[in-house]
Amino acid sequence: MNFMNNLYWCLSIATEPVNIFVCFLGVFIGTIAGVLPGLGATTCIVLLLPATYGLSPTSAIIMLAGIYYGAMYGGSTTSILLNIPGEGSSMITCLDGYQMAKQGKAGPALSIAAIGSFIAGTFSVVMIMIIGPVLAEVALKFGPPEIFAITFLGMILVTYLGRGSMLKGLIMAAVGLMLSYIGTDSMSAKERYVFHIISLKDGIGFLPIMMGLFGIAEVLSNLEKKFTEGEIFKTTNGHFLPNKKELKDSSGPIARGTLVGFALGLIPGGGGILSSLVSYTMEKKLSKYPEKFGTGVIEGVAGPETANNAGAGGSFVPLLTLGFPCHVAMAALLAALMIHGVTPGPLLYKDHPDMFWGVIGSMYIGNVLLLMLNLPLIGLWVKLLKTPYLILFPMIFLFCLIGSYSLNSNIFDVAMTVLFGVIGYLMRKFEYEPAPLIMALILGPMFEVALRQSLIMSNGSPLIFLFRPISSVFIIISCILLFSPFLLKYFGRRRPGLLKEGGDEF
Amino acid sequence: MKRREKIFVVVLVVSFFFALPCFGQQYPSKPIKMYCTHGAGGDTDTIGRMLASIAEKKLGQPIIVENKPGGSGAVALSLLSSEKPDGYTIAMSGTAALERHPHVSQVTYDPRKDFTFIVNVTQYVSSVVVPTNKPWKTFKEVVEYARANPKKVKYSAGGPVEMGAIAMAYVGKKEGLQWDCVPYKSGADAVMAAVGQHVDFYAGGGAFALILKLIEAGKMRVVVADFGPKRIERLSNVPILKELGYDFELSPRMGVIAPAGISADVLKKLEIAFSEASQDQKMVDLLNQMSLPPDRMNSAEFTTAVLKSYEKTGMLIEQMGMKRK
Repeated sequence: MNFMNNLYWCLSIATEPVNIFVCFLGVFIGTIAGVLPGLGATTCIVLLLPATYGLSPTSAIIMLAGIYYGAMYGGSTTSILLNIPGEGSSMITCLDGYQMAKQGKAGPALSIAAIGSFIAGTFSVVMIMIIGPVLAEVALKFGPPEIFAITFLGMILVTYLGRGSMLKGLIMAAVGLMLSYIGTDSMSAKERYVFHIISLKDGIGFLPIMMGLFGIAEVLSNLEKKFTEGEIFKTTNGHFLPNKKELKDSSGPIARGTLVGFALGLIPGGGGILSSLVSYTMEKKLSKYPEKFGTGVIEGVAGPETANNAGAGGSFVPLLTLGFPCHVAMAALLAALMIHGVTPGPLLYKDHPDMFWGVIGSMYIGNVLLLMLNLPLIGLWVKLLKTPYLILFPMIFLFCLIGSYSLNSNIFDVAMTVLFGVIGYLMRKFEYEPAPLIMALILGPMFEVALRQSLIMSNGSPLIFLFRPISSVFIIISCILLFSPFLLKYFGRRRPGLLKEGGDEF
Repeated sequence: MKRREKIFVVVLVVSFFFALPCFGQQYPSKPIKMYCTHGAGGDTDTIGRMLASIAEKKLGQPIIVENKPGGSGAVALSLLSSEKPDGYTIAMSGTAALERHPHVSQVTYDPRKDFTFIVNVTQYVSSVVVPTNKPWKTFKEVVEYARANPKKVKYSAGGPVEMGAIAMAYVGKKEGLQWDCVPYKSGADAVMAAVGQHVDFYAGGGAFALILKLIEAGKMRVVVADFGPKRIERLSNVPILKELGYDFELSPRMGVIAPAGISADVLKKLEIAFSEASQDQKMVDLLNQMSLPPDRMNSAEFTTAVLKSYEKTGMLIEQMGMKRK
């Protein structure tokens, strides 16, 4: 009925030759942006804005939106192949994806990421079509206390990312938080830990640190191993697509990842990072063999990759239904809309139905195009891994350093990458995981600002988090998770893997 | 050395010279970075991006906009003041951090000395809007409610010293109210907080286009429209703050600035480029679409205006007891 009408309409706009072409261009550029660390979707959207002036507003937005979800697809590629996250939200994929690549299963990892992303993307588009406005209302219900509660949950969940002890995970998260404070406080503009170093005024970006801790540190460890152990990447076993078992194992994570990811994508600032974090920890908790996570299980790739694409779809909802951007890339899209003469607002679907439905239709097309684009390329990527490591590692180094420099043309960022590369190498030696640190670094500012705003709202009373339904739910879940090792030990229930993680070493 | 190797070395050495920085090249010879004092999607950002896209064609180099929100612009200005005055880093700035912030708290820059003012483009339009399900139909009702319920009313603003924050602090002081400001990173975020009813109302400039759309969609009600000297055309039936008895005026300008010390040559180029950009039809259309009035000033006028209102604002803030010790 109405749904089919709308579907027909949006596809008819999206399949106009111009729109298919710009959609393809957008997702292609987006994939490249996702693959290259340092070059993000937002930067590309902004840089290509002027290129869209000749196009109709609908075509322009189709292209720019394509860049955004193309980047979500592309980010997983370097995460899996080289342990270098292309985007913040792809970091979780590194944990198991890279291990799979090392075991010769890069092909299945890459393809399950593509398949999961396709399913997630399609799902979120359907959701937008059916209950877009309702979802927007839900998104609005997330005020500072809710955002604090969910980032609090995120902070607890980060400790589940690693294979090591919960204590070490918490230490890393604390360090990440402390690093996030460096810079100029956004609520009062006072400088903190800047020590008059100009480059620190804006804080240390998470991308240089991430490239150092993941990329450079990985190369350093591998070089050490090479002289003692031999080949880094086992030769691939030939198939690029996942086998039946892998598909079956991934179906649960993909389904859950899609739902969770989409829901979290609606939250301002949530988007990809929280989605992939929650999905990973959920899969780990639900799995029959949680201790295997981090060694290369397909669920650890399927879930997060699906979630972050679903989150990307969810991010569009507030923009299309309310005119409010909840993510930097969305804001860039908003600026693009305004410059093209369209002011988004709650009545966008009424005032500019062509654009509204055209963008939605192009998301379908975009997802299909991305799948078609990425699957054949997997063979190519896997061949890349066959390069002798002696040639590969300088390229990886260069990749990271250039990516770092390209952020702000500031050599300080490169220095940070190198510094954290060394720190990351030492961390590996002492079995400290980098993922919790980065997560805390990214979530830190949101966490702090939300807390302070909430306390202003409540005149200083911390009980506000418990008085509001949504935030109290998240706080309670967080507390349960935080104290679960104690609770389990106290009540004597044995669950394989879980106790080893948090109980004994705590 | 074999002949082939000799040729290779020569080619290598010659190509090296092509890679050396080219001295004596005309400004601008590389892309220009433009900081924006506010977050993406807001008024400052949208105008800045449009301006950049027009001006970059005139200057022949891309202008890349980078948002550095926080502290109502203090973060961006702090960064700007320590950049090299070579014309490759400029900023699209509102006047909050230029004229208000330095009086209220310690900042690392001095607006009288650390910046060159290039052109002014437009002005922010401020408003006070409440969610439609609140019972208040006029600003007076909001004030009375706040008086009867001290410490209960919270309003959102796009930063700690945004127009809204200062204006409401002024009203609060005059009426003896106890209400608090919840600062957000951008006007849009603050407006949405009011729509989501996490605060009781929103006050301030920025995100005016979004506000108009929300009013149109019936999600918000406007009780004050503009803190300036006269009513707005689009909302001509809504009173201005002055009419309600608050003798309050804050300059809401938005323009392009650069670090102090850029050469007269570069300044002239930037001034011409941005001046023309602000008169371009696309810019005029955008301003119309956003209901923002053009307020074009060249470098000299802009400089005088800022310095004058810096002093005036200082006195206002002192009057309100908000001045830092």
